[in-house]
Amino acid sequence: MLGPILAILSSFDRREGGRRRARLGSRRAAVADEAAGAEADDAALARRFAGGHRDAVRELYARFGGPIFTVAYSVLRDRALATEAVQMTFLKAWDARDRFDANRPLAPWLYSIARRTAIDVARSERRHVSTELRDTDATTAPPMEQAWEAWQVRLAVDRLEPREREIVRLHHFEQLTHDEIATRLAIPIGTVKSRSHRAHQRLARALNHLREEGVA
Amino acid sequence: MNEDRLARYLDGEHDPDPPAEFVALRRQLADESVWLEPPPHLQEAIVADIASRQDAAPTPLRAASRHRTARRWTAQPWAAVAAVAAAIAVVAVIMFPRAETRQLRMEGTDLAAGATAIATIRTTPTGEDITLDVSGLEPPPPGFFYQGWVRQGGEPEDNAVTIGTFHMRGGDDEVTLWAGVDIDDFPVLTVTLEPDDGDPASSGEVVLRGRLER
Repeated sequence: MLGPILAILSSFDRREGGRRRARLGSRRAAVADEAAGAEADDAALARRFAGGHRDAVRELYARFGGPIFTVAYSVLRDRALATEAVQMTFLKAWDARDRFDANRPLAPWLYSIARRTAIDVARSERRHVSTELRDTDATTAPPMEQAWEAWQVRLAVDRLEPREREIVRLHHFEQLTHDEIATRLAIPIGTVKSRSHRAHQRLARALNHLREEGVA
Repeated sequence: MNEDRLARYLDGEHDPDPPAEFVALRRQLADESVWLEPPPHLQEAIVADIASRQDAAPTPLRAASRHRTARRWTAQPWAAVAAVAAAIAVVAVIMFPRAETRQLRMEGTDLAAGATAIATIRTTPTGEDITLDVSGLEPPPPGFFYQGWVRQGGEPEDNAVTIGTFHMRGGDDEVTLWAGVDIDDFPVLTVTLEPDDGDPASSGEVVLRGRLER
């Protein structure tokens, strides 16, 4: 059956895509190795999930529900569709659990399912819009590196202590200065600065690998 | 040290010439996707859905097809008995489908002569769970993937909804896909070979095709 398919291939320039995927794959593997120590708990969770333990679903959701939602939203830019994609991601992961190698990192596997599912939802949605709407629909999936970066940033942010996480959120998302954060939270400016300094050091430590990968 | 410089930059300290990667990370931290939370009810909905799937009894054909993919046929007597039992199960399920689970057979086109698939379609609260048990279909070449579709008719230009993508490079021949549309309105199931070029439109290169009979 490969003969006819190979004939089709001549019309597509696929070599660059393959190389790009290979590079990205090796980078992801390196990231997974680097994060192995911090994600020791994930290994036990992966084994329980792969073994079909239903309680592992709640723990998996608690740990990865947010990052999966981030990936889905970064692709779809719609809360309802992102919610649908998160649900489908968990169901797909559950259905594929017996094929998952529990000795491998859980996070990249889930990320991969989440991104593919979100893209499938986006494509399915696009099929339903009218031709007129489709012409004006500029929604496209973000580059793979960008979705991977969003996933990594969300994981890093979720690992911060809640007090530090809130300061980082106010600083970056709400664009508040340290003074404004101090007023908002009713805490001394010195406390804001020290927590902000500590939080960003942790973020830099968690995300510096993205720079080395050239992803960010 | 770059890590310290990145920490200071993210913390708001002025950097006269920040690397592009620093700027990208700060932009990502300001993006709402990082800070949005999924709806509160979602966890329980997922847990309930998984529980219902776990409790559901497998259909006879599904069990038979798993057995087939795990081992190759031999001339042993039990294989003949199993073949007859599986064939009876196929006929029984196709002729007397359960309300929530239906099946159809897909045949390879000229692009994938000899390939076949049994599609098991299970209606769930979130959509149609479509499992393909594929035989004789090679993994796609690098830079390509397979894509499943449900269509109102059989031609590529007909109204179609994608149900997912897959590659089969892991050595498995069971594929799980999802449809968010009523399968009775989109009774034709196809699989196409697609280039990894980001174009959401179908290539029209159909490798497997089947129709759900009403």
